[in-house]
Amino acid sequence: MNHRWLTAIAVTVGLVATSACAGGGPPGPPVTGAEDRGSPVTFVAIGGPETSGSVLRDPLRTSWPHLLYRNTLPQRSVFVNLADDRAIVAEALTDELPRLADLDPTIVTLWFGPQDLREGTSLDDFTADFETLLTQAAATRARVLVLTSSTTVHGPDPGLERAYDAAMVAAAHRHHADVVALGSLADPAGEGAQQQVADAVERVLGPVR
Amino acid sequence: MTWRDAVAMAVTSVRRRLGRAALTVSAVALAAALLTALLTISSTAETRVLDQLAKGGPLAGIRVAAAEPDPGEIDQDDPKPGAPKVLDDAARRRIAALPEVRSVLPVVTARLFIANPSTAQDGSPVEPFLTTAVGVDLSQPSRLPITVISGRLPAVRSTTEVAVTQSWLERFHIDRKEAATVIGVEVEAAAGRLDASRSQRGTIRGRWVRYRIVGVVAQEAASGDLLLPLAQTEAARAWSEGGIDGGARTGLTRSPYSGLLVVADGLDAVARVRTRITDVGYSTSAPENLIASVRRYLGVVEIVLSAIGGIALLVAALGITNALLAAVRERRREIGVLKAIGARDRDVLRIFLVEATVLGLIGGVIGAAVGYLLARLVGIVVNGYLRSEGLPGVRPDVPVAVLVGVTAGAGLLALLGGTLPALRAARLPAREAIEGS
Repeated sequence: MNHRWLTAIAVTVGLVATSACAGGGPPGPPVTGAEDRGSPVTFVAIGGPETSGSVLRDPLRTSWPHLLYRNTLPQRSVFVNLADDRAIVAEALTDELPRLADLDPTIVTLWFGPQDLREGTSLDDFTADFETLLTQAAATRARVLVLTSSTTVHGPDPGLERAYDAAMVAAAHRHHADVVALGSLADPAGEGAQQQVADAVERVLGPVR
Repeated sequence: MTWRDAVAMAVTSVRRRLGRAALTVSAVALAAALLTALLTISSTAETRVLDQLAKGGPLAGIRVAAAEPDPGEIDQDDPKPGAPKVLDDAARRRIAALPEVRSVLPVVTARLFIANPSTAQDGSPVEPFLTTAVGVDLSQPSRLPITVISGRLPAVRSTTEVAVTQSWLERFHIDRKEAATVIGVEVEAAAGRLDASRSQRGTIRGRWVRYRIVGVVAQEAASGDLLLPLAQTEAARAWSEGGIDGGARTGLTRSPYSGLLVVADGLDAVARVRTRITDVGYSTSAPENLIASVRRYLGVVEIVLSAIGGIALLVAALGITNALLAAVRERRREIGVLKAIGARDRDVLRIFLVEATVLGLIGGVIGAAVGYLLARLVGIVVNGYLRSEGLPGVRPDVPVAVLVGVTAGAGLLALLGGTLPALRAARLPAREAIEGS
């Protein structure tokens, strides 16, 4: 009985002391988050008004690059939209391309044609400038996707636009870039087609982890 | 007679009069529980009050602003800063090298454009808005003036986690009591940069990131809706600074650090460190005067509460004296027999003193345990109330020294209380003891 008393006292003291010590300072946060695992993903969109979303009411929330970024890419992704409201390929070479290498992209999308058509860029200039653009985009070792939309844009010269697209597809094949053909969409730059464009890019891109 | 024999006899005596012993132990336990609970609650309240004053940071914490000191405000706890002044790495190193400075942590803010969430809690639309994100080194949370209200801090090196402040809750019409509902919500944010373009005004380009809200905090590191790991605000800032205007269009300040969080060697060193930082040329703030005053008041409260508990223990010790006096009367024959067979006065003294101490220690241990549990219970009730009000909870602070001190104190008081009856028993002549009984 004597020993039992002493044991009970010792256990009680031990429990109380342990419990008191456990109530120390607040624990710090973890080192990494659950969503941080995986290699970095940086998505860069290059293009004209179709990519910048300037024709949309709420481009930051509804443009196709944002939808692609938000719904398809992992949370750790970084996204930069270098597209300019009125950019043609030649201007993208000076205003958009120089920023690309610094961003160390892993996914790059290129969508040109409609604005060049509106501004009357010659096929030769378009082809040469696009070749330069794609060469440098491919040099970043990013996965490059080229978007084409010639069959649906009812511009002043459908033949020229088809020729633009043919030049882009040929360049894409030379540089092992993927082609996302948006030919089935009635108005790919319009408000209602943004999700469909994002879906089309996603289909070609496949899952990104 | 050995000590072991004395303990055995004391335990036997306790067992023989179990009812009285239980009542005596209960009195001691109640007093010890009261003292433990009072000291624990007082200690927790002190921690909580001082924590509030230091805004969750260290008591010896000093905030350094990216601004010159205003000569008319130098002795104030929270002075108005003077003209803006660049706070860079050179200044940080100078301050870190000052005597009595334990650590210096930088605060980097960035202006972020928020596109999502796009609706408030009541369903009303929220337009994209510009806000400030505060970046700090989250690996040293105890050195930051941050209190977690709900959830947790972002992971130290996370690129995907963010904590939001109460101003964020207000923006999205979320009641403070429902702070936990924002946890898990995704935030789409961008640092802006002005690039040259065909347009004469240039074009703003965003570097977009997606964060998951992991906590709601109250923070005083700098003004802002979002709290991020330092690397995240540095990356956002670097992007904005790369623009043709150096980030001016997006509201970026010129100073690389918007502030520094300095910890002095102790509360006493705060005033001296502040003076030295002022001499370096920066405005500082620290609640040192307020903390000193509050600590004095809290010290008085602690003394009063300890006195109440102490009186209770004294009453319990008198109970032990009374119980042992009764035991001496009842056990006169036993004392006489012990003496007749050769027990010395000091042997009898030892038996009664051991009995008193055993009763005191048992009561002390039980009381300390009950007091601790009582404090935890009060903590749970208080936390329930605080959380319902959307305020950070408290962690009952039970110093081991209090538990050990209360137990040892109960034993000591019992020993003192048992001295008189033990002396009386020891001085009882054997013959008189036997005849008297």
